[in-house]
Amino acid sequence: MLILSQKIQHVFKAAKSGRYLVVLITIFAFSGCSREAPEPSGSASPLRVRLLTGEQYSNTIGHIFGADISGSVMAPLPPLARTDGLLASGAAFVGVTSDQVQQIQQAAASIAAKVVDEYHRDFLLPCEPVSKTEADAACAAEFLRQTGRLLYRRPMAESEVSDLVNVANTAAEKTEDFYAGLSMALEGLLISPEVVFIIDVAEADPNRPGEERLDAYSLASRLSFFLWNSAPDDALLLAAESGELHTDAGLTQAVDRMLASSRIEEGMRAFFDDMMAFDEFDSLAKDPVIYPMVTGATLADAREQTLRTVIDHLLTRQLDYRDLFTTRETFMSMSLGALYGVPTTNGWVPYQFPEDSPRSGLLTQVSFLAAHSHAVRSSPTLRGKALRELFLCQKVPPPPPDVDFSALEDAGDVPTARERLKVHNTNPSCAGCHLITDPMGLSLENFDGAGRYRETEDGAVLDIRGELDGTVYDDIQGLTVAMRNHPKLSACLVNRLYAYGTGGPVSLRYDRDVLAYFTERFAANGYRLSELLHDIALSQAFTAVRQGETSNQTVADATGLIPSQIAQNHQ
Amino acid sequence: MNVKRIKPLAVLGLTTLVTTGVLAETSAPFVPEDGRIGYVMTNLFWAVYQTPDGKEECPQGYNDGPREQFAKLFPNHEQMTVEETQLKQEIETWHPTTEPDPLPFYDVEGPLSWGLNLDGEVGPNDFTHPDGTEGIDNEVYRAVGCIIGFRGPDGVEVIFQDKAITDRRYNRMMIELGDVDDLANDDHVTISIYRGLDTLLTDATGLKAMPGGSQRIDTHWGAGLVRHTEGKIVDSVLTTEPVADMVMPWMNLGVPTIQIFRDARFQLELTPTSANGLLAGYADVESYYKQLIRNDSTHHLSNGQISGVSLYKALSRLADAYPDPETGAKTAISTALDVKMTQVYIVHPPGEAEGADPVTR
Repeated sequence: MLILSQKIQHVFKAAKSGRYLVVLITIFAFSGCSREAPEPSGSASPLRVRLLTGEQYSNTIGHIFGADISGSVMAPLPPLARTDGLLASGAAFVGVTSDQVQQIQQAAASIAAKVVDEYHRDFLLPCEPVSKTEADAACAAEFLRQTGRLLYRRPMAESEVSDLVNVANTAAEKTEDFYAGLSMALEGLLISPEVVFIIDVAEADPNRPGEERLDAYSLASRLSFFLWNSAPDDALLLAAESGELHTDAGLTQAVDRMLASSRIEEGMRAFFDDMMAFDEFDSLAKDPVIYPMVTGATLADAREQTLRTVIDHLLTRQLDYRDLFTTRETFMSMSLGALYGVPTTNGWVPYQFPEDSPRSGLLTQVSFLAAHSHAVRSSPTLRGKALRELFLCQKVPPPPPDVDFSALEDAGDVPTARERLKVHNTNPSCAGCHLITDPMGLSLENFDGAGRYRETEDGAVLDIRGELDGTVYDDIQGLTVAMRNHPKLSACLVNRLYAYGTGGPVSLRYDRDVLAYFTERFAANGYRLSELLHDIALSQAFTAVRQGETSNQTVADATGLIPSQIAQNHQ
Repeated sequence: MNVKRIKPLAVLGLTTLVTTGVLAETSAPFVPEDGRIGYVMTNLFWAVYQTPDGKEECPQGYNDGPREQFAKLFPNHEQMTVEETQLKQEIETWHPTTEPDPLPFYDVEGPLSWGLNLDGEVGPNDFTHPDGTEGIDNEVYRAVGCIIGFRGPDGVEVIFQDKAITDRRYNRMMIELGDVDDLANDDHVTISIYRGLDTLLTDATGLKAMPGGSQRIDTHWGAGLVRHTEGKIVDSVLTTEPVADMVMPWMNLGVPTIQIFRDARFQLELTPTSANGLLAGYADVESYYKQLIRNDSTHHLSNGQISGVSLYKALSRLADAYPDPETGAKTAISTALDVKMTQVYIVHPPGEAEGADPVTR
């Protein structure tokens, strides 16, 4: 893409010189007869220092040492603040307290002890010590060099290896146990800032004089956490080491391999779980008296159902992203079957809602309906707000601090939410915001606070007519179609995915053009997720470092490392 | 997604019932989709008619259990061997006889009982239903009604069985009504009895069974439990024709056993979400007793003041059906069980043709 962009610029220069025929031929040759605009020439992303998310930490440990070890330790990372729609973006704005450092250390000690215990050492260590009761510098160095490369996401400097071997040797001599010593050194590795932080490092870009790009290891990490939600594997680090990752062919090959890997599913589950704010399920509960069918297992299955639907639709079958909002195909479990009022068999099975069912698309799945309701009743306002914020990237202002809910909570003898909200909205300070959320939220009132279908509320037939940004409809299908065709829908996914990939919220000042470029490409490619991932990962914006944000001082400030040490470590 | 994989559900009429409102309580006539509706058992226990203090049905009080009988039989047990006392009673519990009971045993003496008129006759030994219906056949009640362990809500047998039927998939019995035109009135419906394979859907407490769950049919180990019969619904009450021999899994305290009921029939009040009423028939005496002592050790029997030795003699004495061709002794005893069921989607095996027997297909 970088080369294509440069070539097209060259062509336009040629056009000015009057070589029109050659220009025309060249344009067609390079663009494949497409009229798509090239990536904006100045697109770039900022350097960032991000704390690993809990899931990234667990995935990394699991991929390096095995799922039994990662599963035995709770990820010691602190919760993140949702920032511009994503928890992952909050990772670029968080540090760790001394208490959290202590938790990281405890987890590191636990992991290190398990890695070298008698059940794991034979297959996790590349060598056996000469004596189990004495230090063995050679074996320790071999293990630490190999493991440190995967944990640091770059080759370790020999001085770093040497420091850790000294730790291992000293501890082994004191404990008269080689493995205890090695465990101590591994613990030290695991609590390193370079392990728990993803640190972007810049270097001069030889293809764009005067500009900077991520160094190969930072690019490998960015790609890996973007697509796999985990640290780079050996092959990706090898591509970085060899320099292939900074060639068009090498980068394309690496991205294609990552998209073809089963880990892409893990990575995209993490992204959509974040984008759809499914962390709310961790504390979601329903009143068991009103919704006796809803148990913890039901809600966990609701979350899983939507993630399965998304992954199946977007990755397995490579379908149009917009159709997620109208699809009748999903997956069903036994506990969910009861909520949906449908029969099913054990385990997760594919399920298709019939044509006369009111269920179609993500908005009619229990995960959306139950998560954006109150514990005891549905909420058109919460649903409308979630619809706008999660899927259209719009911001609904919070209610004023002195809002009076009494008219809503004690609206008198009015059976339906539409009527209750009408009473509430007699207050002009409330009415404005509710106009943004309620018309589409009310269209989902055929689903109660647990997501079960109903035609009446307190005996009154529900009026589910509504309107979404100028599109008027009469029923739920009208809403889902309006959502599917909403012009902001695909742009929002692009926004979130780009932010997720580059490790922080987008900047409307700098990223507007490149986001428009990705959105246009997304549409041209049939709104297929894998194409969008491909475009973002191979873009100049993903690799190039935004001017003025190249200093290693940023990294040093965040991690306490000395700038020269950072540069040296990445050489 | 492979849509074809989900087609069998639709083919079998197990499609969504959302639009028909199957789970909604309603007074309007209810017609199950494709004329089918399933129910899964959530409670099943011997119907025991109880007055508050038991004086009406048990004027002589409640029966002794193993501890009380032991004290009466072996007042000098400290001077006797284990073989002469504990083991002797244990042996007799496992190998009971029909010899007259040397200790007093109190049958139910009251005139009322839950149950059905199984033989169509009104005889001198029959009970009267509390609603006034005469000719109720329930001799199991006569035998167990004055034993504390069989009386609710705290009797040990009641507690164990209540828990076991929901916890144990071994006990997951279901009925499926077919050809239902109206759940309130239908002069002919089919009834199939299956065992399910799956955990019971409950609320968040885990104690209350909820409608709307799904159960696959146990076509393998449960093949021998499948039965078919017919029935009719009048004013929302289903009455079935007798099933010649119904086998009822009866796992309790982790021990799998069975009860065998002859001429078994249901009388159930139906709603779209529940089916409650009676299962009545003639319990095989030997199976009945075997279930009791396999499920309950002397420890448990003692807690419920249930003397296995005396109960076996009572059951044999009160047995009222199916005489042994050689000895003439009755081998089965009339009974009724309270049964509660909740609606469930019965999932037939994939590929099963509509109406086909899932076991013999």
